[in-house]
Amino acid sequence: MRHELNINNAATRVVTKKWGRMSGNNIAEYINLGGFSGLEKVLKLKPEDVIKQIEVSRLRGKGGAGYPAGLKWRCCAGQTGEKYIVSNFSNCDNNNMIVNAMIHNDVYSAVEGIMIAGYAIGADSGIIFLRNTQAVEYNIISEALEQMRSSKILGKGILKSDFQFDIQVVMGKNNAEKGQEIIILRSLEGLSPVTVCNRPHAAEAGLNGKPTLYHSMETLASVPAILEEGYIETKIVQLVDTENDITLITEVAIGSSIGDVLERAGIPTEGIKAFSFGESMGAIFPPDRLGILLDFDGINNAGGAFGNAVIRILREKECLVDSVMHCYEVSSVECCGRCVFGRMGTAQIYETLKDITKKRGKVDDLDCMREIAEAMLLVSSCNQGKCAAQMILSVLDFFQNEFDMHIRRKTCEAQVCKGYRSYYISPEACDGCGKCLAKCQRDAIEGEDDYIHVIVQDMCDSCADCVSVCPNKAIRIVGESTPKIPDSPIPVGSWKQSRRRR
Amino acid sequence: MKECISLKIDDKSVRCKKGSSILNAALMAGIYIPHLCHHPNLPDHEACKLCVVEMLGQGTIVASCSTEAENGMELVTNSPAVQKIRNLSIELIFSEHPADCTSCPKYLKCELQSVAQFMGLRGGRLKTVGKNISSDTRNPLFVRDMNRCIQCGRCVRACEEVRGVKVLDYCHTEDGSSIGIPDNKLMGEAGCRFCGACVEVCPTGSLRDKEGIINDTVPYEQALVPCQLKCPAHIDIPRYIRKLAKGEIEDAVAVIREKVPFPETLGLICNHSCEDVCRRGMVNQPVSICSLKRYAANFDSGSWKKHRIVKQQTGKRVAVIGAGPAGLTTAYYLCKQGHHVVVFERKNIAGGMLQFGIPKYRLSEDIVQREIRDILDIGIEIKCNTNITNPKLLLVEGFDAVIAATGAQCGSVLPIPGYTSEGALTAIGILEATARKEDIKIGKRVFIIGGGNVAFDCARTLKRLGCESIDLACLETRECMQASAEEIEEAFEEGIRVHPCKTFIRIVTDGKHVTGVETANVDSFTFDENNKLQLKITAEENHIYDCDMVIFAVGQQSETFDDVCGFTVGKANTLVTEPNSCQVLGSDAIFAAGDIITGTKFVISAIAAGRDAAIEVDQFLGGQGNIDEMLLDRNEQEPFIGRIAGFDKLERASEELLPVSERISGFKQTTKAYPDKTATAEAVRCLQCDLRRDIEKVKFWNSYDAVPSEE
Ligand code: SF4
Ligand code: SF4
Ligand code: SF4
Ligand code: SF4
Ligand code: SF4
Ligand code: FES
Repeated sequence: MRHELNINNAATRVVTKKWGRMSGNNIAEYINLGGFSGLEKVLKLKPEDVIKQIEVSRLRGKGGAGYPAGLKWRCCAGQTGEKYIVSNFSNCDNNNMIVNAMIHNDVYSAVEGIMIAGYAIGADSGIIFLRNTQAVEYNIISEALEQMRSSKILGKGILKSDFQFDIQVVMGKNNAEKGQEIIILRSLEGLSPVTVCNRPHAAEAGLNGKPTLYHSMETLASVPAILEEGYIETKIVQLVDTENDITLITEVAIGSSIGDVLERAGIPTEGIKAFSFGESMGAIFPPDRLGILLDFDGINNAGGAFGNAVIRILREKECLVDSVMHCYEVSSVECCGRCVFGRMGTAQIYETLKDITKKRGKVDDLDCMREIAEAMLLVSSCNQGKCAAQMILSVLDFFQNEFDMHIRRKTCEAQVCKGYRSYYISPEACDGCGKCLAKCQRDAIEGEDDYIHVIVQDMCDSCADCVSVCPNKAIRIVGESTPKIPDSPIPVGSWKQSRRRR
Repeated sequence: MKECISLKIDDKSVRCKKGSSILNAALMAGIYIPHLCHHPNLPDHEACKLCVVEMLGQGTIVASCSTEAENGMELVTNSPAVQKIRNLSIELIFSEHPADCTSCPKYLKCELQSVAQFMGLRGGRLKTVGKNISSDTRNPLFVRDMNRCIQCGRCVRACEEVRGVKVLDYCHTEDGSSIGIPDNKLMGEAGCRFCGACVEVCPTGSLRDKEGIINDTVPYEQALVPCQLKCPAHIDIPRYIRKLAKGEIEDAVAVIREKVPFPETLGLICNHSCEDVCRRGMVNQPVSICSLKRYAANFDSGSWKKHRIVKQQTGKRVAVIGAGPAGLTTAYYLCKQGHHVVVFERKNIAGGMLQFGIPKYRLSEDIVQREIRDILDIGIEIKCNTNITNPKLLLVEGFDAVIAATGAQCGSVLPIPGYTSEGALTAIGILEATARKEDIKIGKRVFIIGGGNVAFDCARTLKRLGCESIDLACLETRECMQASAEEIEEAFEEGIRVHPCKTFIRIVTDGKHVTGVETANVDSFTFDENNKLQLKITAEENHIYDCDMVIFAVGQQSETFDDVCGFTVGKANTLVTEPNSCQVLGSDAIFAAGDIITGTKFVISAIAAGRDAAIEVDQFLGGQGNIDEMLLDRNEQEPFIGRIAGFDKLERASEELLPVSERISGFKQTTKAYPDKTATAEAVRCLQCDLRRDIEKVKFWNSYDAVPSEE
């Protein structure tokens, strides 16, 4: 499998510039590569001038919403009293490896970014938030901070200046503590990890009611680069092409088309059935949309989730219903649990998709899912619920055919959904023991003692429970050709005779 | 005053304060918008989306509970788009809700059910999302039946934001989110203060009081605070305990004084039935309500007196016969109502049973007399050494009403052979003689018949008077004896022998004087339909206890008034009254209070009876019968109680008991009041059950004027 950081042939290296040239948290190597020169430079400037540079760079939050960073910084700087910087280093999705790649390859750029921001807005402490699953990363960051403290780059008298700043790493308590700003701030405050309504802007009253500059790791990692010449805005993306065994991470210039990105990374664009942007959170598109531009508005307007920059390629061997179903499984388990639509809406869609993959789908199911998703899009309390809605809506819009095949034609063309497999009992192997008949919960097997048993296809829902109880391995999957079997049970031993007679 | 704004909801003009939410504006104006996660005492959370409304013009749909009303807004609560979302929300909620409603204990009191009924919808169209959580009954007081939870988050907000305790939370496992206690801890372990706020705000049947915890035969508000309900005088127990927890002792006294004029007396000798029902008892042990009362009253400096109100003279005259707790209480409250009260007492000192019946080592004379002085102080006239045998004559003398509160003063005896012999006495006689410091000829070996508090009082008194050998026997088993457990325990320590399950055959005499008591062992006993005792005696041989003194402690009777009064007399010479009244049967202006109607009861019952009589007599005399008083401002109670480490494990404190030798050498008080620290710590244990009363009741849709029509 090709699982690599595709950095060598990346056209744009801004945030990932030092990747591969240093081992993750070795501070000496980072400094050798010019690390902390941005901070050093900044410490000689007036905070106001730093903010101006950020404004000029037009840096936008890369966590998803694309809010201009300069505005946030200025707002925080304008407040008095204690202030915080909170930085989200958590991976919003288990499949999203971008953040962890950043931590493993160059954790310092983001930390330097935090400190520059701290200097600019007048904060003297920062918090790095990690998810409960990031224990390894927790250690890497903690070690990095230790090295910084002993090199006098963190703590008091940083780089021989008057500036003092410290950083704390905090891990969430459970799976749901991740991703969203409000949840992370509440989790840090010791409150229940749900989104709430009417919380003031973090920049005005964030953590513990104090002005708080909240940024994703990637945004902050871009900050040192801004202070250098030739900064261009980029996005780190993860490309997944399961069928070709490819998972890679690359940095691309904002504004490239997705097709370009794939091509440059060497992922064939032909034979693509669909692609998604945002994993379990965003829309799925047909290949004719490969021209979508990879920028805040391009992705978000199309219904993708810009913050969760995983581009997944689905090809012929993958079943869309099945993969969407798995996404919903994740969303329904990981939603914060606050609002009915986010929680029960995703659960309802998940149940419906599950039924479809089990050959229990009904034509009405599609309208029902659409109705729920449209309502979710309208009233979900948070972005996560809205993104989840986008996904199913896009699939219903672009891939109606996939559902038709499953529901009306009763086939899963990719042969992924187990529910669409047909089983039969081989009349040669069956010895009439009746074990399968006893096992089947749907009464789909006919037979009696010493008779060859027969599966009634209309009743069978392909659960495969019977397969494992048959001592003679007589229950098999129907392959290419239709097997020859009796229409109804006949005595054991009479099968061959009857065929011979024919 | 906040600025007022006006807006239009369903074509109705509505005015509200600036800053109010659309939902509140609508509800205040009597327009019902369905809602579930909104609760008047909680910050809004926008979880259920039932409250959606459409803003005309913009066409946007918002949750009305968390959207601020703005001047000039025009809103529709039931447009098709709104209805679509609202219906879907209910359907989604019911997609994971158990189908059976009738088997749910919340049936008919459930907000979810009510909203569903309003919308005429329950679901059924969507797929059922099963959750099979068995109901959690491991905790004291509460049941958590999470199968019925709709995740509205009200309980979490109540616990976290209103109470500041943070026990309940959104929990996340591989099965998704749910409301619970992280790590599936017990509530106590998680720091629960058992305040019940979560139960109170839960709209469904998922958080409930355990069956039987809330007495449903009384109004709900009362049932919430069982100690106060059980206290015969309904003292505001949680309120005074809260004051003590804060160290505001004088205020605590004022709270107690609002209901009873004998705080310290009660603190020492009350039978404290409140503690039997205290909800803290279900967590570990009940709060020491009684000892805390003693502690508080001990510090009584009389500061409450400045709030005491004695109303203007009414010109009516009232006579009270008997200066015991019932009589004095009646007199006190009637005097405060402005009537002129004269108390007639047969004995030379006021106090009745408090003075003559309760041994000094339990209740000292100083305390009784001090509390009586505070009562008489407000202008009550007392005539001691005055025996009234015909109350009707007092009416002739010009009193407008007479209250007989003479109690039950005569000791009863068992009419077994030999009961009149020399050396056979009554317990009450001994106690009174001791109180009067009369010289009593005490036997060497005493045998006491009876197992109640009086029997023990007498036994322990005799011990202190120097009696060498004391046996006490009764019919009941050890566990069923009427005396309190502490009393029995302390008597044991003092060397009193207790013989349960005995019946008494005869008193053995030498022809004149007592020499012993013959007893038989009782296997069991019952009462037949005529309330006659039926004994089952064991086959063992009878036993004779040698003794030179037999004391009957088998109850007391009242003394009757002159026959010419024509009063109807019941069991134990009690006076019969009109039904549900304390007016003596057939006698216009004559009332009775306390033991004389009820037979021997506890001091607190006599006080409560005194209050009831005062109310009735005041009404009889043309007053309102309102004797409630406010000795302390009712300032808002602080709902934010916060966390206390190990709250569920805090142990009940007991009063320090003097060592036996010191106890039996005289009549010193046997226990010491709590030191300050102990008292505060004990007060902190209270669950403050009354805080739950401050949580608003949610109104159901049928109590609003305008409900959006379903179209
Ligand atoms: S696969 Fe399942 S439903 Fe079909 S016959 Fe076997 S047991 Fe029955
Ligand atoms: S919680 Fe309410 S709606 Fe649910 S079963 Fe109980 S009564 Fe019915
Ligand atoms: S502290 Fe009160 S609100 Fe919190 S769980 Fe305990 S009883 Fe419920
Ligand atoms: S337990 Fe009750 S109050 Fe708490 S979330 Fe569930 S339904 Fe709401
Ligand atoms: S816990 Fe407090 S309020 Fe509740 S019953 Fe006991 S004493 Fe009364
Ligand atoms: S009441 Fe407004 S969202 Fe529930």
